[in-house]
Amino acid sequence: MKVSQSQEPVVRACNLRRDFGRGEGLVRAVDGADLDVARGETVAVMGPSGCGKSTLLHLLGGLDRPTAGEVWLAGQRIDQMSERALADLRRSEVGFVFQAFQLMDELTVLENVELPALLAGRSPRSARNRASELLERVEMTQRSGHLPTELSGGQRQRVAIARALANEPTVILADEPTGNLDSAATTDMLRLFDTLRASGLTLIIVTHDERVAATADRLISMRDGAFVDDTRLADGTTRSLSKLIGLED
Amino acid sequence: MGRLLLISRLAARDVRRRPAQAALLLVVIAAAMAALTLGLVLHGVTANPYAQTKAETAGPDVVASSVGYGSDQRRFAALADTPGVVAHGGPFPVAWPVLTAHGVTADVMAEGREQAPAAVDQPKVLQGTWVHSGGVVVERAFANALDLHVGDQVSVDGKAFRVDGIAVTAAVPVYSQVCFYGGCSGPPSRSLQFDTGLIWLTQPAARALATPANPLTHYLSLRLADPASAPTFVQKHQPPSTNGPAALTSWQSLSAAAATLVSQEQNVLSPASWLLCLLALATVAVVAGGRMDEQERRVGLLKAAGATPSLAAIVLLAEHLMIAVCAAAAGLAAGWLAAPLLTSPGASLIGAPGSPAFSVPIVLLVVIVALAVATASTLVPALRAARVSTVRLLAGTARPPRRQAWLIRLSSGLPVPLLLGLRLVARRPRRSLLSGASFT
Repeated sequence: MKVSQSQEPVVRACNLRRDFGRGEGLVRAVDGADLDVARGETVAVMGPSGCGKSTLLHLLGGLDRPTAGEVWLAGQRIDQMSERALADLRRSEVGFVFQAFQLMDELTVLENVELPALLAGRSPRSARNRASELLERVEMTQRSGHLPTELSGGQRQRVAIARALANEPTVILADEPTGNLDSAATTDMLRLFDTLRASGLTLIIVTHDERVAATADRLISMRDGAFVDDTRLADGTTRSLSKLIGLED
Repeated sequence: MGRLLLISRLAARDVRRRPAQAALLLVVIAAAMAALTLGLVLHGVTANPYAQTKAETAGPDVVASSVGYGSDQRRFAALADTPGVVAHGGPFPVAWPVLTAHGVTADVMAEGREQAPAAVDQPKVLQGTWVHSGGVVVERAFANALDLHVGDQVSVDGKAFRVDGIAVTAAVPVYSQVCFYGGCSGPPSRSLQFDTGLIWLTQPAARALATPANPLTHYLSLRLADPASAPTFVQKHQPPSTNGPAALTSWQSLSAAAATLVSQEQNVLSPASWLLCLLALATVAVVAGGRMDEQERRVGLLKAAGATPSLAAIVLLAEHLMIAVCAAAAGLAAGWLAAPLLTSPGASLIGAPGSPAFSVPIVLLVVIVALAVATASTLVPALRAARVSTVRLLAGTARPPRRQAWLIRLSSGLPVPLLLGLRLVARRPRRSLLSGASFT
C-alpha cells in the first residue's frame, strides 16, 4: 500500500456540485460538498436512498465529472483532467468496490483479479503473482479457477476487493459493498475492511449498513445532496461495534 | 505484453461466451471473402497456362485451316513460304468422324500426325504415349468430359481404337470450343450428345476415316519471326470472307478464347464479391452495434479498472478483427477450393490451370478487405461505447428518450405493435438504415 505519514489530504472536494437534467427536471445530486480525507482514514458516508452518496463517490473517483467545484486525488486535480490521464490516475491510485460486484463473468476469479495489473502494463507473470497473493489474502485461492457465476455473493465481493487492491491503490472507494450480502457475508466483509484499515489504506465507504459505518474513523451523513453531519467516531465506538459483530476475540 | 494478453483473452472469452453471434459474423465475412477470392484468382487465370502450354508444345503463332480457302488450296499451301514465317508444322490431315465411348457419341476433330515430333505444334503427352497405329491420343478436357483413360477402347466411325495417351495443345481452342475459330467440318445433320472434341491419330488412320461426303481438311501451324505481329499477319493474309469460319487464327485469339472460359464467371463474381463485401459490412455493423449495447457494462468495468477509452475500444474491436482474420482464412480456402470448379474447362491447358494462381498480393488484399469490413463496421460503435460516461455504462440504465409533445400526440393514435416497431427504428436510425441496405 502507498501509505505515508503525510498530512496532505489524499482526497479533497471543494464546493462540489453535480446536476442531472435541466429546467424543471433539474436534480442536484451533490450540492456544495466540501471534503478532506486524510491518508489512512476510513470514511463512511450514510444517508437515505437518492441523497447523492453514490454520485459523490463517483465524482471522488473520477468516474463522473462534476458540474462545478474541484476534486483532488493524490495531490492532483482531476475534475479537469483528460479522460486518458484520468484513466491512468484511476488505475494507479483508486480501487473500486461496487454493490453489484461488477466482475467480468467470462473471466475466472484469478483473471478478474489480474485485470487491473495487466491494464497497468505489468508483465503477465507479475500480474499473476500479484493476483495469487491477493486471492490468498481474501481467502479465495481455492476458487481461483472458478467463474464469478459459480460463487456466492460474499465470495464475489471478496474477489472484487482483491481486484481493487491489484495495483496497490492509495484509496479504496466502496459503494454499498455489503448491500447484496447476507449477514454472515457482511461480517466477513467487515473483517476484511478492518484488515485493510489496519494496513493504513484510505477507505471511503458508501453504505446503508450501520455496522459498516461503525467501523469507520469518520461518519458523514448526507441528505438531498448536501453534508448534514460529519462526525469523528471515537475508538470506543468502533471497538464496541467490532466486539458486537465478533471482530475481536 | 500484459495488455496484449488481456486484449486477446477478453476477445477469445467473449467469442466463447456468444458462439452464435461469432459464427454469424464469421459466415457473413467468410462468404464475402470467398467471392472476392474467386473474383481475384479468376482474373487472368488462363493467361499463364496458355503461355506455358504454348511454350511446352512448340505452339504456333498462327494456325491456318484449309476450310477457309475453299478451292484455292494452292494459296493455303503457300502460306508456309510467306515472308515472316520461320517454321511450320503440317499441313496435318484432319477427319471429322464420330467417336463413341462408354455409350455416348461425340463429333471429333481427328488430326493425323506423324510419330516423329513436329517442329511446330507438337502436343504434349501428359499420360500414356504419342500416337501409334490402332491408337488415339485424346485432348485432356475432352477425355475428362467423356471419362476416358489410357487403355480404354473407343470407336471412331465404327472402327475400334484404344486410347494411347492424353495430351494438350495450344493450336486448337480447348474443349468445348474446338470449333470456336477454325470451324468444324463434317455432315451437319448429326445429332450428338457432346460438343466437338479433339483427338490425334496416325495420318494413315486419319485418311482412312475420310469419305466423299465427309472429306479431309488440313491444318497448318506457322511460327513467325515476330510472334507479337501475329494479328497483323492474320489480317494481311486472311482470304476473302466466305461467311465461313476464319482461315487464319493468331495465338493471341487462341489465348483470348481460353480466357473466355472463365470470363463470364469473372464478370459475375467480381461485382458480386464487392456487393457481398458491402452486405458483410452492413451485417457486421448491425450485429456489432447490437453487441456493443450488450457490452456497455463490460466497457464501463474496464474503464473503472483503469482502461483508457482507446484501450476499451481496442478490446471491443479486437474480437471482431480476430473473427475477420479467421473469416479471411476461411474465405481464401473456400475460394481456392471453388475456383477449379469454375475453371474446369481450362484443364485443357498445362499446369493444372483449373487451380487458381494464389499470390501474396491476393492473400493480402483479401485479409485487408476483411479487416477493413470489421473495422469500418465496429469502430464507430466501439468508440461511442468507449466515450460514454463510465458511471452510465456501469449503471446500465435505460437512457430517457427526448420526445416532442406533437410526436407523443401522434404516436398515441397508432396501434401498439406499429408504435413499438417505429420506436425501435427511430431509436437506432443508422442501424435501421444498414438493415435496410442489407435486405436490398
